Amino acid sequence: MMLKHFYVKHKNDNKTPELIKSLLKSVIISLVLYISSSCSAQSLQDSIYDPGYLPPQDSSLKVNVGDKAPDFTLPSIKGNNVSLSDYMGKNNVVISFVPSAFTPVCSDQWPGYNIAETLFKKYDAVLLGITTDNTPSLFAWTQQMGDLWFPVLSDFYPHGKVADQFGILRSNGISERALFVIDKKGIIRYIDVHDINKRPPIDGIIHALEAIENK
Amino acid sequence: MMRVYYFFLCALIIFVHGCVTYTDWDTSDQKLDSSPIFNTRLYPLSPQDANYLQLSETRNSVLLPLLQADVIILEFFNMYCIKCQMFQPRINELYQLSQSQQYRDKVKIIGIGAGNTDMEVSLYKEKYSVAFPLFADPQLEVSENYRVRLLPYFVVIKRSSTGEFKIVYSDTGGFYDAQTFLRQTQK
Repeated sequence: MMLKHFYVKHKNDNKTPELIKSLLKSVIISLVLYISSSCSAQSLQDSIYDPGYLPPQDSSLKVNVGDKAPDFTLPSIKGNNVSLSDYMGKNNVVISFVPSAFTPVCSDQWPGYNIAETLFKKYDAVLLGITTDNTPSLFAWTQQMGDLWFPVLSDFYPHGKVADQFGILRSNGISERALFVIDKKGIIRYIDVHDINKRPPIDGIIHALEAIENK
Repeated sequence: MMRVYYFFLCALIIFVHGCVTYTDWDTSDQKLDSSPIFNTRLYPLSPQDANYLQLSETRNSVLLPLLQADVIILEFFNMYCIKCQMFQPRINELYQLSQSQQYRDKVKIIGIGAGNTDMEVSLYKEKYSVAFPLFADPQLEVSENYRVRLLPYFVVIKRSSTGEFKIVYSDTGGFYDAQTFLRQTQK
């Protein structure tokens, strides 16, 4: 009815094409805004692949608390290389290995660390996020998490070399869900090879950093 | 004239959007299950939070039926959930609106960190400057009572005319407009 009225009233109006054009424009803008707001909120969730339940652990640690952490150099999604030794003497280092990009638990582990920057800084710590995915996949995945404050590193080639150095490379080529806290001297002070199906609480990391700083 | 049509068109789109997404209010007794309310003990309760909830500052935990408010809004969140992080400023806005004279004593907001530890909830509270009480639910006991699904998840509990609390709204997502959502709780 409203449309009929609109049509009758304006069908001989010279301004009609301009008016219709403007209305169409408004419809398109509104729809784009509506669709984009819906999509941006769901994009990460929609791109998740669920591997189902996995054996909690499938590897044997090659390092222990008190050992010197094996040094490594890996490419980051920013395009530069990052070495563990870059931080020695300057920062405590927390390494978060997660099994795989675009999987359920991993996709909501680093976003939590992303809002904890102040807490890491309080303990003079940097965080390194590592998976065995290749750099482009890691880039695409972490882009959906917003602007991560910590380096994200790819242990893709030689495949899983760093994960294997720590003894957390599983038989199918992904890493365990594991946390290592390394002090400024390069000594491993905390290890949590977590059940791969569950997200470790941040408490373990923070307590380990507290222990280092209060020593 | 063009502006008038533009205005009505935008209003129509916003109205349709609102209808499609936010129509889960239910004041009938059909979907109500009041038992979880009475099983929900939340702790630890800080003196500031006790003050906000109009309880004695010496209390260290709270059961929802103890509250004097007519409406309790529960926000289920998780520190690791991106959508929760993105939506938190809107809930803070809801809290600010609820502090107006009109709602101050009638509406109370409580956040539940589904699957979070006390430390994670504290971190989240500080990061987003959340002024209302947040409680950890590491074993998901509270969240499972309320059958929480995807986060963020909201439950609105309202005191009925007979003085009993009942759930009038529960859904994943959030709200389009804080003022409208708050007004809806009063209907």
